[in-house]
Amino acid sequence: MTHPELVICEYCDSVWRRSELGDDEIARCGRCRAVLYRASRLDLDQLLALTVAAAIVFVIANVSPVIRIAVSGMHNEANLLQSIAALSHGSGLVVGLVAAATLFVVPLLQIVLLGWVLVFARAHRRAPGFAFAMRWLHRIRPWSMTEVFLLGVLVAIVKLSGMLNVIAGPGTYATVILTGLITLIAKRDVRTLWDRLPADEAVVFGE
Amino acid sequence: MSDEDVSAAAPSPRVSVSRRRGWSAGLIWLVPAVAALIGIGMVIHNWTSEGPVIEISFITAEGLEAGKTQVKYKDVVIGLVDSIRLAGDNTHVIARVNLSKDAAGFATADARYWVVRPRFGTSGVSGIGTLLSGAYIGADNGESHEAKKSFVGLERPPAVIHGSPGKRFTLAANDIGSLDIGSPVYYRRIQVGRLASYELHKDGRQMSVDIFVDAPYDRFVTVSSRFWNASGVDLNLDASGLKLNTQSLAAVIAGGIAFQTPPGPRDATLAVEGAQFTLYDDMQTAFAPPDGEPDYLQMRFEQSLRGLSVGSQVDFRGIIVGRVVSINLDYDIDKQRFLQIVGVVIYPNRFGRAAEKFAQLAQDNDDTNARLANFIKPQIARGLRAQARVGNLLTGQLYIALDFVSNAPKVEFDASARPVELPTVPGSFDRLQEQMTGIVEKLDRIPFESIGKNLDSTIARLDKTLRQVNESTLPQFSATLTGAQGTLGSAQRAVDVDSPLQQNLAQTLAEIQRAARSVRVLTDYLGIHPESLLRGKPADPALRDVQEKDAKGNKP
Amino acid sequence: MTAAPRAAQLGLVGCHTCGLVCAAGQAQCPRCGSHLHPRKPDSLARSWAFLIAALILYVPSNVLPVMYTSMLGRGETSTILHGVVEFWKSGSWDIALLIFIASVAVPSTKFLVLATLLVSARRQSSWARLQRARLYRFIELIGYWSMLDVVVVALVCALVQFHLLGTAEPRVGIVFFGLVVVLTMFAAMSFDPRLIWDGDEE
Repeated sequence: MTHPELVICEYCDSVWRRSELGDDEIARCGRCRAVLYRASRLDLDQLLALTVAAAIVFVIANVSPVIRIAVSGMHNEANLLQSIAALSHGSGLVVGLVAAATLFVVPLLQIVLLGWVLVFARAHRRAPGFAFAMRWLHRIRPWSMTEVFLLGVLVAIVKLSGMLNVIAGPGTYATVILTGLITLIAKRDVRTLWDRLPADEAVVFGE
Repeated sequence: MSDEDVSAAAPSPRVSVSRRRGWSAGLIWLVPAVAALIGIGMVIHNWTSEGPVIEISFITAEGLEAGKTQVKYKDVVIGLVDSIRLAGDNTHVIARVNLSKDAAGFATADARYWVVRPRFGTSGVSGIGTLLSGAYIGADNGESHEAKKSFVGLERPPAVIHGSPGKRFTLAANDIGSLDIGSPVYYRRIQVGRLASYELHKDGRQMSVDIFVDAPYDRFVTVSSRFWNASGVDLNLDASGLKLNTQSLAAVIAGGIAFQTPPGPRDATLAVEGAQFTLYDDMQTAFAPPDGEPDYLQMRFEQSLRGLSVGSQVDFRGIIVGRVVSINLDYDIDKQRFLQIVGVVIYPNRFGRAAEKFAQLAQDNDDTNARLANFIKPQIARGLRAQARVGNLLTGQLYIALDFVSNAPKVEFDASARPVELPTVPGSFDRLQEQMTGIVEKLDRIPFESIGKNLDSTIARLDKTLRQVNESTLPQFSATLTGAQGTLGSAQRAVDVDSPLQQNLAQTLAEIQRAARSVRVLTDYLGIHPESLLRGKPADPALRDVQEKDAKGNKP
Repeated sequence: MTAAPRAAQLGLVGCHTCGLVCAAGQAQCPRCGSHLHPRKPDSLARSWAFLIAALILYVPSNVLPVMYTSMLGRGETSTILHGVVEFWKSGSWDIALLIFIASVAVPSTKFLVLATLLVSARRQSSWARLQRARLYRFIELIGYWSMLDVVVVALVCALVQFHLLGTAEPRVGIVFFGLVVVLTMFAAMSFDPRLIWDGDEE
């Protein structure tokens, strides 16, 4: 038996009744003040558009160099992937894998899975593997750390500008935009998609 | 619990309001559109700002890094190495280079590429900056406009960059010596150019060396300029001694070519680009007036010619007139002796004015050998001989000296023999050698053996004699000595002061004295009174006194 | 504050994946198929395990060097704190503060807060439940910013590769530090915040 009209706070297990929210309203748990659900500002179309944009920007952000340095006639530049590769040198393979996961794989999966789901959603259908995609979107959410990368770029620029000539490359600006987009589409709460996307009556788990 | 109860039990959650932000429906698609545009714009920008892509093959990729190594021309970056891979047959590496758009002129047929690394070479140390900054690829374009995509990289920087002001010349040389590409060219000990390339002629007899002289020094190269190999240390160790000559320390290390116009009035027209010159081996040969045609002569020597080598000088009264070109052994069957046949070439021009005068005397005889023979014949009659003399006692080097030798033994000179042969006399050193040989022979003749043997037997006999002496003679001798000693002892006693003999002797002497005195008195008296002989002696008062005294009691 | 009933009281369980409120007793959520459990299994034990492991690895991550830089042949290794001090000395005190907060303050706070939460949850204390809940959400929020130092090391090592003129390489300390961040995140994710409110029904 399910109660779709109810919502349980995941932080304190209190049961609440769902109510309609106006634009930009947030429903908070009365016991622990945690966010229960938000009014979705973006409709599916907008979400998809932003996801597509995020995909393009993701490619740019990863391929273009984030920082360019020059010293006495020599120059060097690095993009995200090269930075992760540099970290993996020597004994740093484990942390390189961690960095690769949180800075590259997870954002990529977020974009891809969300895009996959949304593409079908526009046609008012549930995508094949919808549950799988949604489950994983939820699981990888805490591991998406693109904004940390952005701050790290800032710190690295400051650190190196003391000794060398440092310029932020196009990758940095792309990462800024990417961070914003991912936050908009995937960081808040993907669980609302469950409610918004039409359920396929034939598929019911547990029976 | 029923569903309705459950639902009823659940209150509504608290609601809070957050800031309003709006995106209208259709405009949202602007975002991905803009993102796509930016992405495509970047791609197009990259694509259009790409210049030609070329491939350069090198022997090694040392110092080259994909994505990092730059291509520079006149220190301006004109390209970047994109990737490096091994050639299919694994003999060299191929570097793929992205040239920048404005460097399209470097993808032409006569462009050249080389790697600039730290180099310690013949022309000095270069490329040190690349130790810090990493190697880069140097480029030089040419005149051609024909496009070319794949190049073979030079293994070292070319000596001459296209477009440098100056002139190229070609020198003909016997061998490259210690020269190398980049070796400096000196004029009055200033470096004015460098060796650009060298090549062996197809017939293998000569090298042709291309040099490049920078402007403005190229105006010092005239048609009468002489070029010589000023490499290293010009060490000359021959019969005339040790000579050391260097251009500069760089030339000592790296080798070099020097040029100058010989002194005196010369044709001073500037040499044109590509003019040909000869590369001489040293300054002296370069400045020497041309030698002219040499004449070939032969000589026979009967002594050892150790110290004479091909190239040894032929000297006439202190002037080097030629050199030895061959030394061969020969066997004279008649005399049953080994000879050495030495072939020399003489340069008549080196005789200077004498040569001109002899040329007049030659009466236009075309056959040079006949001319030579006719010229030599009277000289030989006057004693012209060839001699192998020691030039250097230290090294024992010999040289051939032509000189007039007084009271040289007469020889038959065959003027028609070919090749013309010059008679020889042994050298002064040889004579010394002969004398020493004689002394040694004399020493040799001394019969040291028999002397030794005789000495031996004499000593044996001496030994026997001595033994005899020791055994028989000696004891007798000692006995004799003892006897003699006894005799001497008694003789000694006899003549001793208070020996009776001595006393008798003394008495006797005294008596003799008295007697002598009386005789003297007598004679004196007789002298005064010669008549006393007849008359007898008168009574002498003096005498009487004496007699009285004596009788009275011996009162003197 | 409205006294809302808790799920157990009403016999309900919320799916943690899709949020659907289901009747208790079912093994799977009918909507998304993920396992339903009223409380995260072994929450306290798991959380303690991750927390202690992270604590153990925290020591080498600060003691061992995280980066090796060399210039003109002279090289030196530096730890996280060295980096902070260097920034401070060279005048960028804001960056120094940032690194310090991200690499030292945040992990330490997480250790403290999680330990507090775990202890108080085991003892089922009713002390400051709301504040504890807020604390938990707070460390959930800031937890992953500790990766900042890892990112900085990665960028610097990728950029400064000039052979003689300057090179930078990561050292093993950064591995430990990355693991500390991951482990503390796992520790926080294993802790069931609903345990804070157990005993609040009356």
